[in-house]
Amino acid sequence: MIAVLIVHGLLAVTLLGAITHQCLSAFRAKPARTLSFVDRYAGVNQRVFTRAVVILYGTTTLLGAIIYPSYRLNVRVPFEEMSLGWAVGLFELKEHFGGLGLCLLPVYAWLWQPQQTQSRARDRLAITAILGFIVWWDFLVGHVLNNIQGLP
Amino acid sequence: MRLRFSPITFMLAYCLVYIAALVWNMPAFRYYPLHGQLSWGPAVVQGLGPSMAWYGIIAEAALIAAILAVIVPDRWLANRMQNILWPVPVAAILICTFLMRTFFG
Repeated sequence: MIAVLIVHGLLAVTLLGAITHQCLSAFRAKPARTLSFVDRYAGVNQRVFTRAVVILYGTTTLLGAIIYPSYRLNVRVPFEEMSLGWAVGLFELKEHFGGLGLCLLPVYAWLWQPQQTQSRARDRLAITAILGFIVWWDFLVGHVLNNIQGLP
Repeated sequence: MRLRFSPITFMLAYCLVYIAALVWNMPAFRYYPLHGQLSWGPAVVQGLGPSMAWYGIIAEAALIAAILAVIVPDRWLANRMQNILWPVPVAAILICTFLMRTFFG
């Protein structure tokens, strides 16, 4: 189970990088003109990143679902015994945000198709930002909780 | 006949079913990790240890949303929801947060 947790974490880092790149790129109104770090960071191939984000999100969630029973038995129970209700609550939010993020993937992929890029700019920005929020939340909460009590 | 999948309908239906299942505690099934057993329906089976509803909620929301995404015409919703797609997932996130407030009290 530890191996799955490590792969889950590594994929989460990759997903975090990809969605952050894309969010920054989407929110930069004007095209990059200089060769500054920020311009280079935001200058991404949107179609490639969209596909990568969908695959990474799906895979990371799948691995999370595989290790979830181990968390339920070996981590949540000690949290409850230590009266760390807030830690259980943070994980509950991570779990439900992650589950809700799954339904955003089809519409996110659809909004980044070339034929939608002109007409649905606000939807595309908003859905990408919501997905980015979920990824950041889940990553940070997972990291904090794993520091308190890791999987055996 | 060619089936067309509507991502907008899928997202809206999934959010609504997910939140409804969470609010009324109605997962399609529960998983009991201690014994590796499933029980259909929302009722908790006593004596099997801690239960997990998340898989059941996701499966329920995904199945109902997928059926609706094929049935409801894509263009009909897409035209009416242009640039106002975001409030539904944001509301779902906020409702989730509100429901989990008891853990932080």
